[in-house]
Amino acid sequence: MIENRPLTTFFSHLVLLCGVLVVAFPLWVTFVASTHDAVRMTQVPLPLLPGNQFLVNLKLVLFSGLEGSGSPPVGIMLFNSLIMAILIAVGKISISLLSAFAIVYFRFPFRIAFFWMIFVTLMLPVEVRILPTFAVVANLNMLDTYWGLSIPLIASATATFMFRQVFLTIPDELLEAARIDGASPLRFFKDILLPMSRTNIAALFVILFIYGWNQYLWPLLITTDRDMYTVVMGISQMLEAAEQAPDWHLIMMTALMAMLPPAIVVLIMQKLFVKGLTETEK
Amino acid sequence: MIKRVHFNVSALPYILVAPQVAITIIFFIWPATQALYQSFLVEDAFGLSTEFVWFDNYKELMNDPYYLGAFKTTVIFSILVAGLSMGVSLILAAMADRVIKGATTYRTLLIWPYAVAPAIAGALWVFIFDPTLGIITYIFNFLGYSWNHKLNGDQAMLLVVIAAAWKQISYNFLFFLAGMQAIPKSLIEAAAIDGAGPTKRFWTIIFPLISPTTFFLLVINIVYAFFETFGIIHAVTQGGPANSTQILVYKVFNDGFVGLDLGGSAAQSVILMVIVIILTAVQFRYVEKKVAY
Amino acid sequence: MAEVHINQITKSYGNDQIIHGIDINIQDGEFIVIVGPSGCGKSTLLRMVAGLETITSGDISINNQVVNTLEPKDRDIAMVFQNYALYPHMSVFENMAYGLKIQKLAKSEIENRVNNAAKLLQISDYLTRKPRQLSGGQRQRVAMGRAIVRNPSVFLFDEPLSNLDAKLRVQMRLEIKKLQKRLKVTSLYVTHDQVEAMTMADRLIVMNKGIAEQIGTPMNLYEHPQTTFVAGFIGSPAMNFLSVKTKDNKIEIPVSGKILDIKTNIEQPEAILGIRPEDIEIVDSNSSDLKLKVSAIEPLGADSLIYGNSEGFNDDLVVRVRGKTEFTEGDTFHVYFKREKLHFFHTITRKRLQAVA
Repeated sequence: MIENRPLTTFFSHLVLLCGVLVVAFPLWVTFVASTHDAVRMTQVPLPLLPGNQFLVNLKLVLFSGLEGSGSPPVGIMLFNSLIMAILIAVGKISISLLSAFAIVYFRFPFRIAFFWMIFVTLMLPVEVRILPTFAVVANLNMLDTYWGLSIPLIASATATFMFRQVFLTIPDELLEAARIDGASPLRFFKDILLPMSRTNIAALFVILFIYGWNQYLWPLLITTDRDMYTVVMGISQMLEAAEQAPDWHLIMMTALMAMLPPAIVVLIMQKLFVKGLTETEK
Repeated sequence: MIKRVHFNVSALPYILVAPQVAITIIFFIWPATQALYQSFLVEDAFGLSTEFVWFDNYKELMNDPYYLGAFKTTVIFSILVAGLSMGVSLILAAMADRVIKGATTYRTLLIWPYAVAPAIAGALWVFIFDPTLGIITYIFNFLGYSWNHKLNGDQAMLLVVIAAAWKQISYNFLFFLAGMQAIPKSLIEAAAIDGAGPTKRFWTIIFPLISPTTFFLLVINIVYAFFETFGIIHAVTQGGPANSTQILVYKVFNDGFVGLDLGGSAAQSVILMVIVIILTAVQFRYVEKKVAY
Repeated sequence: MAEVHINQITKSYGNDQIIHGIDINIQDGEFIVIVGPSGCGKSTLLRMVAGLETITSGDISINNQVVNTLEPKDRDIAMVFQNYALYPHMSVFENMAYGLKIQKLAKSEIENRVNNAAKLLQISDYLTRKPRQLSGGQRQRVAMGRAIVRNPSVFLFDEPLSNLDAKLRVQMRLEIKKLQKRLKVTSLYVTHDQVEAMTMADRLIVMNKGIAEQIGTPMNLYEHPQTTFVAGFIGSPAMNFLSVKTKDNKIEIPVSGKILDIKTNIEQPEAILGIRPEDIEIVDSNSSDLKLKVSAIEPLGADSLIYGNSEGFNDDLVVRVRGKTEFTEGDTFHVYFKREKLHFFHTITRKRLQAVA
């Protein structure tokens, strides 16, 4: 720091610690709840220290689910979430890479029209076109399928823009060198562009995986088959059921399971994630 | 902007953009135009006949106290979420920017809620504030304050605001911190030499210099509060009690899917679209200069 | 090995013509340098030969085959770029092998060729490194290697040395020249540096504003520049120009009133006289053509440059003398122009006039 002021530095750390504690408090409470049995979780005040039922609860939730909530075992929902998140992330990245490649490296009629068409998706989040999009998916017989869960969400202006930026920074001479080396457009894409964009792809994957995993409204709309439920939407059914039978230890275990995978991805890939976030959005 | 050098192939670029464009048309543009079209229609109670009514649906909305109420609720909700989340993040980022040791550790400890889905965030907080069992409720009771967000609309609003703001802290923190760390150290040092203390430096140097970040985050947080918090509302309050937490996005869903008022829901969708378009335009006009054609 | 024929080549972007009909026949194994100031169209010309720019009109043929519409890869050429254009994610070996891999050559053949080229360029130790781990000079060699392994008929160089520091540039230009003599591959080399151009070229093309001002050997261009542009561009420091009058088949220097004792048959009343700094002698007042006042001295070590001025001059006249000079600023001195080294140019067309009859 500029000047040495032990007191202000101490104060800064204090504020930060308080912040960390406030932010982490719900997580701690959730974790503690997931380690107690049903009886303990109906006694006020609720415990603030972990119990010994974690594995029991985990097993129950993963393989049997929450009775009376109408949701399947959490294991199934986690699997569905995983598939959906991966399909969305991979799908968005793939089609965005291809369209960015076309827009940057080719000159063709309607190029700008396509660019704006993709741009428009930025202005149409699923929340504002719920009913008609549902109707389209229903007409295409994609209700209760993984394709229905993912494909309508994979158009991405943000990802396309990001790859466009990345490609624009790649020197023209590389394309010329590749042309002299005899590389076809697709070969250039595969051998030069893809490897050169791999950190951007990885960073974007982290963000889009989380985006896909955390989808709520869309799965809620198009899944009626309980075996297609995702874990994030499943939680709302459990909360409804909690009105009658508050099995908080199981609900919180489910919540823990629902946030763990994306949180782990964020923490492990922190550097990439921060880079991806600040580069796509800024 | 485009490369100076190109490939000279005729069909390939069309094939390359085809997937994205197809999905955009089928799942974005077509439904959006459908919503626009339906917003001009009225369907009878049995869905047997439809009538083209021009702007009647919109007029009806403008005279609907529930819709206007939802509008007001959304505005209040957005202001509270953006204010609370950005305020807390700004303080934390300013502190993290001050400490040399541990800034990245604090970042690690603060960014994980980004990964938590809004609905899950809602579940976490609703448990803490559960009227009979919640830990905070217990403390409130102990202090003689009674909490029941299932009956009290203001408390319900406060609960969803806390849950929504909590989830957004990490995002705002990251951007504030990045903005502050991008300020040249020499500027801060110059101010220190001029005799400005830490607080004064923050308000006269750092805060003005990160104003683009602040503005960007403001837009992002409003978009977030408007559209992405559906999960929190749906999972925690279902818009209740007595519509006190019914935000616009939730009302579109509720009127369309539960109430089956197609024309009214479509008109609401169109209004929301206009709001997104305005917000996006603001964001690109004042924040992002990179889409330059 | 190939001949390259460039026949009436033009290039336009819309209504903007930037190459105005260039003709040159390049012999097998010849080293041709295209030199000119930036924006003269030299890179565009090279890129048209490479197939990276379309040809507006005219023909380019390599090996007696017209290549106007061929893709770069089908022209049997290799190119070395100014910024090297190495693929950053590939090792040195992969960079050099990439084109061969696309040609679907056998693995052993690829290894053979890459290893031979690497040995030739003394980069065998770096084959597994990535370009970012190499110095500028090493990257330059890799870029050369990538060109060599293709065994092309023609090498194209686009200012390959301009990103190197001065010392390395001198070293590399020698090496490239030696390498080219050894491989005997027809080469086109673009540069804006006239020293590079003079030292490397078998023949030079001096370009200006999309026109080939003159084509010839370095000494030919130096001794017989056909335009004031070539005269001023080739040679450092540049040739001095003076406005002179012609009277009765004689030349008069208006500033000094001196009438030069040479015969001319220049018909115009005025002309431009050109004289190189090394072709001016310092003499006593008896044989003086011109009296000058020293305005600046530049000692270069082996030589010194004396900048002299006289009333009625816009620019200083530069005189090159051997070793040190005793003059200091403000001194006056007399100069004599070597008669056989005088050049004359037309005042308007700026073309060479055959002056001495």
